[in-house]
Amino acid sequence: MTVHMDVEGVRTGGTGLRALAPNSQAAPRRVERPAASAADRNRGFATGDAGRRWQTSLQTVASAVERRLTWQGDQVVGSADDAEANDVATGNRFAAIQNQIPTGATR
Amino acid sequence: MPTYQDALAAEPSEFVAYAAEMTAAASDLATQQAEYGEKVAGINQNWRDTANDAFNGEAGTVAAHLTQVVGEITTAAGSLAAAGSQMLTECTLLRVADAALKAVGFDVQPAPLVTLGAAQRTAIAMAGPFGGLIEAALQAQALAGTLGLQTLTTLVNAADATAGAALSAAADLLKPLDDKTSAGDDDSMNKMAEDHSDGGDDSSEGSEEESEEEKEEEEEQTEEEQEEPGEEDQAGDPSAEQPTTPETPSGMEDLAQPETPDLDNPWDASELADPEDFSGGLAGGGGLGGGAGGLPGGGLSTGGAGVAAGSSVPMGAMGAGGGAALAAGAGSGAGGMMGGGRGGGGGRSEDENARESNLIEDPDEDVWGIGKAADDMYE
Repeated sequence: MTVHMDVEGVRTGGTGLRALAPNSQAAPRRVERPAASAADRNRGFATGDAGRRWQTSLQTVASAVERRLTWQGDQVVGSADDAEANDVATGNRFAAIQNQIPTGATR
Repeated sequence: MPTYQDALAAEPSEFVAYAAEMTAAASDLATQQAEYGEKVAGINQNWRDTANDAFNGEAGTVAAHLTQVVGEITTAAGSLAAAGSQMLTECTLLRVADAALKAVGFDVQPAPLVTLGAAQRTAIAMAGPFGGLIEAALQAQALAGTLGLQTLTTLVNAADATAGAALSAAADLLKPLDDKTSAGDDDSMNKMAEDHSDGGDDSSEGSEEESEEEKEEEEEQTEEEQEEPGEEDQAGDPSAEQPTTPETPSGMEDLAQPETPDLDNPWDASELADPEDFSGGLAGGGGLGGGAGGLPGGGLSTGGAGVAAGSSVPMGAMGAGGGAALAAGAGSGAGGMMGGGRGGGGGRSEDENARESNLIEDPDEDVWGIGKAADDMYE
């Protein structure tokens, strides 16, 4: 199969994933105050408590998404680092082999 | 369950506003999903290998999860908006009815219960003979008002129960993604990246190397397992599994069998009751120990156990057996090999050597019957 990596491009993409991860909190943050207000201003209503619980669940989901995106970003950046390190190591091996081959006039 | 007073004081419009924010939150998450898709696409433009395939599998999981969550949020928002609107209508009607009853002079108790107000009772008293008629009419209105308020309160309760149950169910449906923080998962994509970027070779080469390494490890494990049974015998109860046919040099069957001490403690092996009886065995035993020492780990274990079985191996071999047992007791396979290689003397500690110095060797007494001068290469 085709194996290809633009290391800098992939590393930038992984960093972008990490930066994108905290945006997952926008959704639960948006409903945090309305949930509290709906519960506080409708005492005795089961819907108010359920709304709080729903917001907590959404917060949990969003946090998990944030962690997953951060993890994916770490993995992508790590893959780019590994590919670069392997390329350097392979280059060094070839250079070492080249140094071991006697040079000069052969015949 | 809200009471009548709760329903009067309620602001169901907050539920409607909450539902609107839920919808906006779903939009936020959809935006997040779109940006995520763009990031993934950007990464894929610069990356192509099996690690990238794994990454895309991961990205697909997250994208599907986000789609599902956005759908659940939208559903919950729609349900809450409908229930909120219904409760808003019912609570508004309740407030209007309550206000209308109070406006005509009725008192409304929290039950809810509509009763005649003070002004109405005054009017009845002032009506004279028509007071009874007026009171009956007002009581009928109060009863109708009570029934109306109770009905509206029941409707509010029903709507609240339905909306609360629906929202609780929606909260239960929101399941977070599993965390991927284990070391194995962290290595998975990195290893794949290494395999494919390692000199640009075919992936099968890496797998072959891995398989060869695995084979070597399996062979090592097999060797260790072959050694371990003997070691376990030594480490465990020596009398439980003793070899039935310990190695006995030929021509030595007729020798007097010395008493074998309890070998539970290998350090007691060299402390014989009467060193005179075994004085000649030290040299011969040393030879046997050396021979045993040349064997692999399994051979060592057999030799040590053979001594424990009280075989015809002279007590001079006890040093080797004890040494082998000691080396085997060290646990590791390498330790067993080292103890065996050192033979009768090498496997002993300084304490044992010190005790062994108490034995007296009598060169004139050929206990073994094999110490012939002609065979001695040094004479």
